[in-house]
Amino acid sequence: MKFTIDGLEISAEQDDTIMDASRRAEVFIPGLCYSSSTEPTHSCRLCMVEVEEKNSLRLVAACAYKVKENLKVVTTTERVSKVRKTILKHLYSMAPENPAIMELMNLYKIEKAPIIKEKKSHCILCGRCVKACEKLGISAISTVNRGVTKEINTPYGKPAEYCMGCGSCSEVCPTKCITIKDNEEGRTIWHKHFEWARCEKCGVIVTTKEHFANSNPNNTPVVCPVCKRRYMTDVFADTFGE
Amino acid sequence: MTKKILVCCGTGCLANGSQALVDQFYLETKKLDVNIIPQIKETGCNGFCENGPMVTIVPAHITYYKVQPKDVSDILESLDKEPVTRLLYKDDSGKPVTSKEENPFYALQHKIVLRNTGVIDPSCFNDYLEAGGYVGLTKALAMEPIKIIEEVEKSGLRGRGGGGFSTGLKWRSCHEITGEFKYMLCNGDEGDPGAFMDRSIMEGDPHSVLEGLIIGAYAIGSHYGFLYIRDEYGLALKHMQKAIDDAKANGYLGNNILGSGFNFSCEIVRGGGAFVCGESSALMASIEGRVGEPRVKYIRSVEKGLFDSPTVLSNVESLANIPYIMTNGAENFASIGTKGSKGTKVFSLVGNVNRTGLIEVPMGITLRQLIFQIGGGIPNGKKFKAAQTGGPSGGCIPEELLDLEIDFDSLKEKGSIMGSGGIIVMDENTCMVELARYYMKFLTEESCGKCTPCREGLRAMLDILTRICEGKGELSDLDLLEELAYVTSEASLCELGKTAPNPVLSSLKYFRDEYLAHIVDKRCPAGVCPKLIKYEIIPDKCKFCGLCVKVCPVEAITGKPKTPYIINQNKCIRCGNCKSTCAFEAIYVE
Repeated sequence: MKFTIDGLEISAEQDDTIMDASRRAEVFIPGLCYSSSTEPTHSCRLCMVEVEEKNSLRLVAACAYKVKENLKVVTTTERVSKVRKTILKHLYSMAPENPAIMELMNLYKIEKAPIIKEKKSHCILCGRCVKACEKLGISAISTVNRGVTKEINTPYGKPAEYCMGCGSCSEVCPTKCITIKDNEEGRTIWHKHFEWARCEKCGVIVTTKEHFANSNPNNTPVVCPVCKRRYMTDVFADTFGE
Repeated sequence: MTKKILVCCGTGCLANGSQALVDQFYLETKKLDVNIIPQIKETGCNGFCENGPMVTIVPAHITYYKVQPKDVSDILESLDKEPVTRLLYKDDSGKPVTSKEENPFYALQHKIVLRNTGVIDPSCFNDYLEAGGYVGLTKALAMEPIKIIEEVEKSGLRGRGGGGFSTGLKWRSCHEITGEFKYMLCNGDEGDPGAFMDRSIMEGDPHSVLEGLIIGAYAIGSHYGFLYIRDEYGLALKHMQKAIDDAKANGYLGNNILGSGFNFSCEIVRGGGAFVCGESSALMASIEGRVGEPRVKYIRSVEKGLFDSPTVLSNVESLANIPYIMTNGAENFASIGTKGSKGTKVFSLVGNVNRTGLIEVPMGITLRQLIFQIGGGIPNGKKFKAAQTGGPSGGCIPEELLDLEIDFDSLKEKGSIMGSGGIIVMDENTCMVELARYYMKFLTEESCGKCTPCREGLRAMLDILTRICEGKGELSDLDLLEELAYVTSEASLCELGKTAPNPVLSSLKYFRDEYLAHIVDKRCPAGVCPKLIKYEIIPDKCKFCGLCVKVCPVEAITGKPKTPYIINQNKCIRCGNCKSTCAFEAIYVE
């Protein structure tokens, strides 16, 4: 399937959204809640573009709108830039000086002026962390409350029973605002403390005990990747001779 | 013919004590001769709640207002004689009127949706049958589903929840999709401040909603449905549940409905009180047990809705129209209304208006008729300023547009919306900036907070409006407001966000001078914004009675005997208690 973004022809697969196809073709459309590895949330609204429908232009979210044959996408209009600029200013008010936001602010040459002057947690409520946790089958975190009091948290702000401390939420976070405290003893994330599962051979940290137990069959020995390779070499040597 | 005494037992009249009235009627009719005992009916809302409890005598069609238990004996005595004049409504010329039709509040009304409300006992199945209920369903079940859809399309019925999308077309799209499971939903999650149309319909005539739902389900090929009703509506929930149980017991719900071979069941889901759950996709998420957040709708819910199955969601009022259309025909329905909007619309008329309440009028009626004829004008001889239609997602309509014929398209063109039908009338003492701020506050709290432009845009607009109301606004704020409103309406994910800036945009359009007065002159022309006004005592008018001192909650008023009292401006919190208490009009707002 072929379509164009600002006149540039791009090919798309069945069921691709504009964003899927453009990221694959390395044509840049900004979007902070979009990630190819998690389910979409369509929440940040930075990726708004115009598409030609019935001879008029319609503003749509690129991460949600499915590509059709010969679709014309335009990203250079006044309308798109106006929307993008204001949304970036909103995001800047939520996460001032955050590298991910600053990169886009500089790209679109937007002057640094928060609309509301208030110190924020840098979370832009994109929901990627929630979707990552959901995809792992855990759903330890979700959005809590509504409107301006909305936040990402565990149920009732207490340690979540099923959280395994894997840190995937933090990994996908575009503004890197999820607090993880790692030290020699273990890891603290989302109000919960985890002990390390250390390699039985060399003692390096593999992951948290809960994460390891969750991703391996019962009674699997905790071995780090380096030792595992070394250990397997020994097995091969025993079997086939040196 | 047995005489009937209809006692209004809508929520408003119940609050005014109509239950005690019913009890008194039962008590006193026991003493009467068995042959002339009138039948007592507890009906749904009559709409004129501020004059409740209302009692109507049929077949004489005499309606009494503000009836108290002590009036019961007089009413019973008068049954074969002249009506009790002191309990009649007095029209604008002061003449007492007996029937509802002569009452100016009812004169212009045309009842389709509310045809049974206030006439039948909503918890009595036979009452509904006797009033012509389920005739539409019987007719529909003998028809091909597609013929029903054609009939609804021909009637020109548009969704009454606010969107105004053609109901027939929606049904057709769902009918054309093949799917084993389809759902038919009813949206009873009415959440606009000052709106109570759907509540009154569900309370007063639950079977008409249910009948509409069953007809819709048959037309689209659905066998299961949900009624999503907000939990605060206790009486509506009770009556709706009773209606479902009765319909099931009488073969109008369940398997093989009326021997047609068609199966349909439904249940009630109680809403948890989030305004956003009135939005279709959030409502479906809520029924599924997920967080009530809307989703993007490039795939329509008639294809993939509840539990990813084809789904039709219709508003309470839309559904209540369906039995009427099936019974009386599409032409009959389409003969009422304007070119683009057919039928009637139920409005809740509230605010600064002499007669408030629930009304049903033909589409195309003007705001002037609504406010000045039905509503009887503005109280205390004050001037009309604006009317807010469509609740928080709507806009204000100023005086110069009073002759606008109300329908879906005309309101949209003027920057407001029909919404679900709340009309809030405001007099000259309403500050339009404060009003916009109030709605932004409501929406900031009720936005689901999922997408950036809605959550942050509303928060920023509220911030700016609060600043303006406190006299800290700057001229550049107006441009910023317009920019934020534009982006919120363009980029938001759902209709809540897209329509949320309407109160700001419409008040900026029609009342820009008030914004300027707040910003440039630091003055609130309506005398409302606390930070911009002060209360003063006119020494010549003060009679040293000391009442104001008593009602002041912060002890800001001081005075010695026989000398005019003084308000300490540093202590005053501008609550206005003193002004409303002063009998000599000695206190004024500056």
